[in-house]
Amino acid sequence: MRTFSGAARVLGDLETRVMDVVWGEHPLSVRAACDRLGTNHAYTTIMTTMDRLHKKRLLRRRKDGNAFLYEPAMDRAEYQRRVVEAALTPLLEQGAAPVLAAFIEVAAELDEDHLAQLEQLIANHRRRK
Amino acid sequence: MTAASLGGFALVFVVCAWTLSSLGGVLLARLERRPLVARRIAGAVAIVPLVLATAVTAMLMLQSAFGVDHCPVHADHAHLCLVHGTEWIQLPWVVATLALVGATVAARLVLVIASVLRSQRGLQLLHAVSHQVGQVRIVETERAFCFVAGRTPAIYVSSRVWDALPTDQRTALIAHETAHVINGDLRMRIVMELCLVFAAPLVRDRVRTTWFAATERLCDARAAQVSSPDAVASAMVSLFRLEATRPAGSFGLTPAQAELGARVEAVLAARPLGARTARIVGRLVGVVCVALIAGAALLAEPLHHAFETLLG
Repeated sequence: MRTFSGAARVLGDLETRVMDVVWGEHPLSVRAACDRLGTNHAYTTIMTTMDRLHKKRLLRRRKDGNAFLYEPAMDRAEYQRRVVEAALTPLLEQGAAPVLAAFIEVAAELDEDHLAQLEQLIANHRRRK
Repeated sequence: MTAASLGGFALVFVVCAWTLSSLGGVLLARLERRPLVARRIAGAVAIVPLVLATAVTAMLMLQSAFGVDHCPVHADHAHLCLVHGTEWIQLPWVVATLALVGATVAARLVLVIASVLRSQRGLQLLHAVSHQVGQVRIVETERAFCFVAGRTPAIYVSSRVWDALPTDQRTALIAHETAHVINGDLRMRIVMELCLVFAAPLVRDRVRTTWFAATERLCDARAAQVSSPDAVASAMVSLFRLEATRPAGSFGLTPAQAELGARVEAVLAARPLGARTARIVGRLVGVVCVALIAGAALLAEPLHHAFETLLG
């Protein structure tokens, strides 16, 4: 199973750890998140972090008495999909990315007959060897 | 010296750069397609006009600063002179030309820089969400892509491609991207983009297209040596098919199926890369550049008067 540890650098270490906790179990209050994360972080630090994640629209929250209960706005896979899309858009859009060399530029349209001809060409070449 | 007195020299630079660039563009359209030769010529068409235009303009400025006082000789037109050559800026067509070219160059430069910065940000994100598997960084996504990028170049492959390709095609893919790194294509591409900011209209796209196509074929050929022509060709078709059959919601890339066919045929046919001709072309371009710069230095004064007469 491939991991998603690289997200730490997208969100920041503590933000990632908080998201991991909330993805694992929700809804969670700030106090509950503190408990799951251990004793290294002050309550106010986690509260600020969760508030920041809420503003980034990664966490949803609702009032529960005097506290907020947090839950993820999207699952981990959806989050990764969005990060990848955000990363790829400037890299692969037309005319962009003087910083990369793509193996092949592709079109949305597909001429199946032409591709079949090319595959036949490759097969013939392989047979001739 | 005033800023206004530089107007005439700016015009000389523009005329030289765009004329040479246009001539290069015409040459590029007529010359052969062997990848090493085409790449060398495209590089020359991007860089040489800029170098020569800069050299000629510098010669004329030096001649004006340290040469004979030419101004009384030509009383009937504007003077290329750092001290009192301010008439250029009073000519409406000169102002219009410089404004147009200046705006074009500035817009291109801003687009290139913005594109580089956006791409760098994208790469940082991609690096963060990818993980190293052997020589490549795998990005978990349904999209299909493979490219090499970064200051310390890394090969990024989508999990969809990686999982779909058999071992021999993966090897071909890595060999192709590694060839880009070995050739220094990423650095060269940035240099080209910056030089092409000053290229004449229409030439820029032609140079880019020629250079990219030649570079890709070169890397295909290198990859075929490491793996096999069949594997390289199959990997190209597989990747194209994967991306083209991706679900809707894609963003468009350059339609390239015709180019795909040409590349597949070229790699299977193992056509010559033109190494010897490319070396000769490289030397020839170097010699012509040196000869032209030396000629401009020796003939600075008549050249100076010629530009004044033609443009002033």
